[in-house]
Amino acid sequence: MNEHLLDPKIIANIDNYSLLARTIVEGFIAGLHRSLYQGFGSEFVHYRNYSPGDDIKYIDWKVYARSNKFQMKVYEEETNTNCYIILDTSASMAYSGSKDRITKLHYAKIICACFAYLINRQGDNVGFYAYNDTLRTCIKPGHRSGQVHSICSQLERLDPIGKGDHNTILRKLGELCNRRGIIVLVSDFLDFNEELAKTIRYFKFAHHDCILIQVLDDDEVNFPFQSNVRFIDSESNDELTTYPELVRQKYLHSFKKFMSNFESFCWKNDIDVEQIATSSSLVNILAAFLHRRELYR
Amino acid sequence: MDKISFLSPFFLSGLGLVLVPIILHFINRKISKKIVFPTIRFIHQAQQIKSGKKQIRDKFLLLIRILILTLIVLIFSKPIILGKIPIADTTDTKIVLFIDLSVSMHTNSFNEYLKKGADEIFSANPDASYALLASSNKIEESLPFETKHEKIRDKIDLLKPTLLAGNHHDALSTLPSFFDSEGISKKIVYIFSDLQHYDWNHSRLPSLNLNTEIVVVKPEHINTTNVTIRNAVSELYVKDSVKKLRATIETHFFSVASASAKLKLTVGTKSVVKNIELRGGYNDKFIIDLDDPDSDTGMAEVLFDDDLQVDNTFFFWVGSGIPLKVAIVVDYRDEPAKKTESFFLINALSVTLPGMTKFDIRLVDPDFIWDQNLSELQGIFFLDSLTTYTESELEMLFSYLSEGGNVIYFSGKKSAQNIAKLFNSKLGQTRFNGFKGEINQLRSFTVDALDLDAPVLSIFREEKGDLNYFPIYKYSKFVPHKNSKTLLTFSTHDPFLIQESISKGSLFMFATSLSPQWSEFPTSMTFLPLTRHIVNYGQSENRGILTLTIGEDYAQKLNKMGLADEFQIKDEPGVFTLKNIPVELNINRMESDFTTTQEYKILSRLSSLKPGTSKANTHPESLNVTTSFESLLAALLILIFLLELIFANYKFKTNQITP
Repeated sequence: MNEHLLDPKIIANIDNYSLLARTIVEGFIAGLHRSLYQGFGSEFVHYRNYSPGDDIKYIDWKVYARSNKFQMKVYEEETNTNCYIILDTSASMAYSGSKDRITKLHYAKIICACFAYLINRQGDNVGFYAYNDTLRTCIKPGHRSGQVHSICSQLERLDPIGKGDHNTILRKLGELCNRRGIIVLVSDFLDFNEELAKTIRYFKFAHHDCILIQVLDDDEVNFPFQSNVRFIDSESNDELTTYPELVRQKYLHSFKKFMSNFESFCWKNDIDVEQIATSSSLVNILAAFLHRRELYR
Repeated sequence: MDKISFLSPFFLSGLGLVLVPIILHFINRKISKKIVFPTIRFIHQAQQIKSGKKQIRDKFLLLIRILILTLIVLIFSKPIILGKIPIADTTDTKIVLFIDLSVSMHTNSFNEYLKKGADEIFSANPDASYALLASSNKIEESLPFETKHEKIRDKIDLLKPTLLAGNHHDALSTLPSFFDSEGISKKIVYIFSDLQHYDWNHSRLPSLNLNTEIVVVKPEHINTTNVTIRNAVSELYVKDSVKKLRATIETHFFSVASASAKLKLTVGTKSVVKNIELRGGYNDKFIIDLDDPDSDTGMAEVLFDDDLQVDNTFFFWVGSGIPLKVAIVVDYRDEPAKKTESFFLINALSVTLPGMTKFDIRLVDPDFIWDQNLSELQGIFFLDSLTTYTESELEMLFSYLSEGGNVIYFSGKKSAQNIAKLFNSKLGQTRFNGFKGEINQLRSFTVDALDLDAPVLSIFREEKGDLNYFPIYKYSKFVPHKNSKTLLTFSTHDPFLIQESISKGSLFMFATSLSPQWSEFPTSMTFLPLTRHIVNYGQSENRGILTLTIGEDYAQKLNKMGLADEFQIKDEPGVFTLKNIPVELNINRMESDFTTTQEYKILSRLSSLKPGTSKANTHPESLNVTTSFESLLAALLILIFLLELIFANYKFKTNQITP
């Protein structure tokens, strides 16, 4: 696995999400022992030698008759799973702690691109939705060859703006995603509350498998600010001047409490949640997704 | 109603400093870093608890710091509480009016001020008994309590400030005798004075412990831009066939700020005016030239456009006065040739031209020191003739120098012994380091550098004559001490003329002899003015002009000189002669300094009543003393400093996060 390519510092300056997704995913998959996108569907791909443990129903007996060797027929896997990637593009996603870090939205967009590419390569249908206070992008699930390219083109156009109206939009999306599948919701979830919890739970009731990817910046987690600072809320534009040294302990306490509430909600409802900082590698998140995909199969 | 006043009000301008913490506070607030943060919800929860406290603390600290600066400024400004003129019990009150008639009270409005103050007191206390006491440096007027009001009022109209420096010790000492009688319920002393610090020096006041109230009535106008002339020295010289007078006027300006004024010099019918800049609080020397003076007496004045001055006029004598006595000491026993040398010197000093100092020259042998009253001599020339002097004789010479005399030494063959003698007896610090050159006149040296800043050489500032040209064939190599002044130097960097200061007097040492074989210095044009100027150098009473100062006890000085009978003590400054001795009588004291003594110090010295209290409890409105509360402010300052330290270092408690 070429982790170097998955370093956020490297990918920060690349805006071509198609290229990024292909590079990252291919690089990531090349390091795995087992091919994940080849299985036992209906369309023949090639032969391989029999290994103990393989299902004997796939042995080509005609070949055995001719050559006295056990050869397994390998088919391209065919699934019909729908993946809905939903991206929060509200203004709170615009934050990047320092100049050499990437914004949360940029990081989230890369995640979306990678997932779309990965899903598409596995033969599943992938759809993409982006929202803030309105639904900004809507690409219905599909498996055609230009699907990933369409998603990546949309990703490039999205910028972080506006206030996130999660409840309204997600409920609307719930109606749009009427076929059972995997919901990948990428957001910072800073506005998580009872209402939003209900909405996410609604996905579960609709028999969707939910993966919540929470993208955060290190500054939100550690609150490392010094001296006198005037904080401006990115969505409401409210201002607050304070001495971070004085409020740090209390901030961290509140933030941790909020996070633990969020995690416990997910755990109780059997929802996968991945918290990822913009400074960390994409390996974990891709691995987590594939693991989930395997379970779902 | 009591009023707060300040003894050093100019320090109040420092109150502007309070702007510093205020500006810093606002700058600190403005320079806060701006961060657009995803959500401030979590910060807001914490802020409600902590930042509010911090803001309150910051504002409190700002207040404390402003208070600290204000208190420091107030302490420097020396605040006092001025009491009101009391409205006394009219039935049984005795009041003494004490009037300061010292020279510093000279103002245009003196009588007006006196009359107005007295009338207020009379109308406030119509039935009280009054006494009058006026003082300069002695009791000028004294009227007992039995005197009628009208008489006191009439007397007040006639009072005028004297030209004497104040010393009120004697007059104040008589105050207890005014209040000898028993049964008086209320006693008040009103002091009409500017409390000029020279006159009211705390240490010069009697410790009276009077059981009376004391009220100081100050004149409304206190002259704050006063100038005094300390001294005026005149020199006569001839340039381009015109007789000229150069006067050096020394002034002292009693003001904080500098000011422009005019310096006027008047000699006979001639006068000249020069614009000058007086530096506040400094002594200044101004040089002013006047052409063709036609009188023996001169007057220097510093003129301002508005203010009346006290000591701004100085009278002085122009010209020689009595001849100055000088002695030329020659030891003929060893060297008959010394006669030639003394001849040059006598000739130079004997020249008499209008405006030039006259000299009474005595040619003496070294033993003259036992016969002659040395203090009469303005200068003593030694033509290499110190070798025979014993220790006691050198000691006599030392005391002559210490009193302000001038000793002029010319080198010769015995320079080594003579210089060593001066050095060993601590008369001089210069050392001898051999001779240079020969008397065969094959090679000569000239004077190369001169110290034009030295007063002795001031005559060469405009015209050097042949100072740099006359040849010297042989000279003694002197090694001057670091404290000595080398006035003239050879091109070989050896000194030609050295001046050493010994107490008030000066020792001048020439490196060459007056013998024509050694140099052509005695026949040069430089010789006459230089030697005459050196003898004239150093101002002392020996110069022949008697300087007296109004305000000082000059009768004692005249008595000592046996002149007291001839001279009526005057209070008017001027110049005159007394038994052919020119006399300069001037006011050049510190009286012109407007600085005042603090009232509470005077009151505490004179009265047993503590400031701020009154013995007459029946008249609470009659509190009248001045109270200083600097110590109270200082205590407050310390307390606030402590508060500041505590608050500035206070750390807010933070809750521990439970994992």
